[in-house]
Amino acid sequence: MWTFLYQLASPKYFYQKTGNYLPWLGFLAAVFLLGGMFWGLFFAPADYQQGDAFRIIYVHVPAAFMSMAIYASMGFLSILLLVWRIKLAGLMLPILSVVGASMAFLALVTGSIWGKPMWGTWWVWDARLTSELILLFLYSAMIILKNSLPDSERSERLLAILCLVGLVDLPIIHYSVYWWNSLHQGATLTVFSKPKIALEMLYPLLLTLLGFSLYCAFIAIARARLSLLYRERQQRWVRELFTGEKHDAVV
Amino acid sequence: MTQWFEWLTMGKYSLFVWPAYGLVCVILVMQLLGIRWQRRKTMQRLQHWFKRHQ
Repeated sequence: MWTFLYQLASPKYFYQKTGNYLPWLGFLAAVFLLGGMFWGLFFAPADYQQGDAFRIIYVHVPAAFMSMAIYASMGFLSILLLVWRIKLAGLMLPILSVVGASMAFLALVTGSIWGKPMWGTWWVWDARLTSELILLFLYSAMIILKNSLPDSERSERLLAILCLVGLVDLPIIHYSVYWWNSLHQGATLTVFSKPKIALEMLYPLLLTLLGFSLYCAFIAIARARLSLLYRERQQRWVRELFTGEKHDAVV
Repeated sequence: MTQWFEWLTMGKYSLFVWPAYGLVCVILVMQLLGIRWQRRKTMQRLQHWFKRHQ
C-alpha cells in the first residue's frame, strides 16, 4: 500500500498508471451516478412525510458528503506538501478546490430547494447551513488565492496553510446538528449505527454516493494529468510523449 | 399515461425536484466539458513551448 502511494508520487508513474484506469473510472462513475439517480427517481418509494420532495436526497447528500470529503483529502495533501514536499500534492490542491467548490455549491443550492417546501423558507442562518456556506467561501478563497498568485511552489504552500486552517470547519459542519438547535435533520447515515432510512431508499443513495465519489476522482485525476503534463514539459518522458510517435496517446 | 404524468409531477413537488436534478446535471456536465477545454489549452501551450525550444 505505502509502496504504491510512494510510487504514485512520481509524476511519470502517476501519469502512466492513472491513464490506464481513467476510462474505467469514468465509466463506473457514469453507471453508478445514472443508476442511482434513475433508481431514486423511478423506484424508491415516496417518503411518508415529505412525499416525493425527499428524492432530492439522492443528489443533496452525495454533494454535501463530497464537499467535506474533498476538503478532508485536501488537508491530507496539504500535510504531504508541507511536511514531505510531495509536488504532486501541491498540484492537486487547486484542482480539488474547484471540484470541492462545485460540490459545496450543489449541496447548498439543492438543500435550499429542498428546504423551501419542507421548512417554508429557502434559507435560514442555521449552524449547518452557515458552516457549509463557510466551506464554500474557503474553497472560493483558495481558488482566488491560486489565480492571484503566479504558479509557484510558494503559492501552493500558501494554499496548503489556508486549507489546514480551514479544517476546523469540518467537525463544525458534521456536529452542528447535535451541538445547536437546528432546522436541519441529523445524519441519515452513520458508520457505526443502523441507518435511519428504509433499505429501499438507502440502496440508491449508496449508489449515488459511490457515483459522486468516482466522478470527483475522475475529474480531479483527469485535470491533474493535464496540469502535470505542462508542469513536467522539460522532462524527457513528456517530450517523448508529445513529439514522438506516441503523440496520439498523450491524454 | 396517468402514472407517467403522476411521476412527472412528483406529487406536488415537481417545481423543486426537477430543478435540483437539472442543476446537478448541468454542473456535472460543465466540469466534464472543462476537462476538454483544459486539454485543448494544454495541447496548444505545449505545442508553443516545444516549437520555441526545439
